[in-house]
Amino acid sequence: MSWTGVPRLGELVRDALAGARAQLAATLTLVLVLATVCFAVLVTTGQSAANEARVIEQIDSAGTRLVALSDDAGDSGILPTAPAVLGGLSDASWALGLGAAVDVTNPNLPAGRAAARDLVGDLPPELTLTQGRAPRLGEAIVGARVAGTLNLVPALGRVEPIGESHREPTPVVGVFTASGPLAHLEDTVLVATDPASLESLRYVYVMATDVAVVDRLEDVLRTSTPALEPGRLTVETPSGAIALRDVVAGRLGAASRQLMAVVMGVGAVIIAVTMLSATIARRRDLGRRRALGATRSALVATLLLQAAVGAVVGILLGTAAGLVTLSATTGSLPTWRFTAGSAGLALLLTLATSAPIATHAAFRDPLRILRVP
Amino acid sequence: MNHAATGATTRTSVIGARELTFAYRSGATRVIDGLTLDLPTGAVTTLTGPSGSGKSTLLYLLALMIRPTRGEVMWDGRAASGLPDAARSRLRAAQVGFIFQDALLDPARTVLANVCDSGLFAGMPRHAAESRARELLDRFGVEHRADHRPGEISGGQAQRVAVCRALLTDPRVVFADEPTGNLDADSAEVVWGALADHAARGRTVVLATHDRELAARSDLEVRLRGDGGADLRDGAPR
Repeated sequence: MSWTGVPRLGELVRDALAGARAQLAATLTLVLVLATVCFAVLVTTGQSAANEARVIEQIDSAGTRLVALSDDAGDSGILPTAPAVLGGLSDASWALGLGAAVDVTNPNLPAGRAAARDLVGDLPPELTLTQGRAPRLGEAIVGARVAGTLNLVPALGRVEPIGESHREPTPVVGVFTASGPLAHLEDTVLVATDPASLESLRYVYVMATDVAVVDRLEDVLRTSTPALEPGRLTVETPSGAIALRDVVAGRLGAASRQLMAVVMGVGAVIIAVTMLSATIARRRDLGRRRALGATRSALVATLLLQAAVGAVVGILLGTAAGLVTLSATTGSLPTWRFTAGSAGLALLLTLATSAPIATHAAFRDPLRILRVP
Repeated sequence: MNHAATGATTRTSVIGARELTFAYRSGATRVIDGLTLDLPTGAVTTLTGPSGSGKSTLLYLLALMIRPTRGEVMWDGRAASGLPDAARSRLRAAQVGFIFQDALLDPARTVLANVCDSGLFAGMPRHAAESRARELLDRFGVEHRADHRPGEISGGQAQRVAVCRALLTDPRVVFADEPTGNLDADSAEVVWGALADHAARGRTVVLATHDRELAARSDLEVRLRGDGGADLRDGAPR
């Protein structure tokens, strides 16, 4: 019977697994090294990445994405339809319009007073109702800080503009807290108002979908905001916060990358030494395989597969241990992308480090290896 | 120039050499110098000569494991030593069996797995390789050692296992480098018998040896002189 002289892939994989078992010391060393690398990357760089994400999130919560349009002099004439138009932009998550402030009081207990503004648009996620419900048109909600001032705690009641007692008081149906860039609204009474009943708005807040599109959104707002005098509008972007965000991301990111490079570098050296020792120990075995008809590429593939077996086991163990440790000690975990990325990088590192060593082993002169003095 | 044509002119030949020359380094002494010969099929050819005369080098040249400095190794009448490494390896995997002086078994694997090793690179299905391996182990009296490790068997048994490995794919050519060098007389006789039987089935067997008795029993003896040249002794009864 004649044979092809081409090994079957399944048999090669099986042979590599057998080789990994046969060279147990080298395989266990690879398992240990890769487990240590992955563990170290996760508990150091992974933690840094998680911290960076947290800091960025905090900076973002301070309003890096919020663009504020204001009619400071009251002569720009922001049309009440602006929130609906701007909220529909692809770069905008939501838009909210506020009218001019008027002083209001609680007609039942008129000692306190607060500023009230017409609200055009839906309540954004930054405003959270703590009591009552969302207002319908003609109804009001009050900020948590101003609720006490107007003696509306704990029950809800009504407010009316000061000096306009002839007007029907506005029913208050809820209390809200405000966070992030809209925190200042907790001192305000917001009255849900039909845009059609208003002449103009004093402020429009637009939340960008991402920090990266803030500049683009700003340009669009400057030119496309429905207003009588768009050129007189003041557009404010959180440029300082964005710059801070970039600095934090850059510095923390650079520190993380350096740390990871050091850990991976040390790992690569140990992997190289382990693979070199393993291939030297197998010199005669590899020479024998060449004599039996193994091509150089088959030898390289077998050695790389063998290294990958130990590496994958080590990566799984190290990653699991790192995640458990991080969860137990800090309560925060890096993103799955970071975790998968570091695991993939570790496997790539193993293969890239092992490839030249395996190739060198496959190119050794079989005559010098096999002949017995 | 050293033309040492085989006297076995009536026999066909799988392997030959044309003006074969080999030096370990450019300008160094030529271990093999202008050798031309044909190795007959259905015969045992021995490569003999003093230490350092190039027996193993010629064996590895003919087995296409190393490339000549000059000249050609012929397989089936075609120049083969210039083929790419992968093609020479495939040819070796499919058509060659190899026996080394010290058996060279993988100590971490069982005797059975060691025998099946040559089937791996030949592309032999595992079940076929195992079945054939057991058959050969039985034939050479070491089947009961199939699940043992090489460290648990004697040197003679190890070399029988190596013979089984070489014969697993029923190769057209078997190369053996001092296959009886470390063996007692009985084991050496078993190995010789296996090689002679294989040749008798129309295969080519080439062995490098110091053993004068084996050389005398071979069909063709290529005596390497040590100066790069060789003399032939042909037609001895096996």
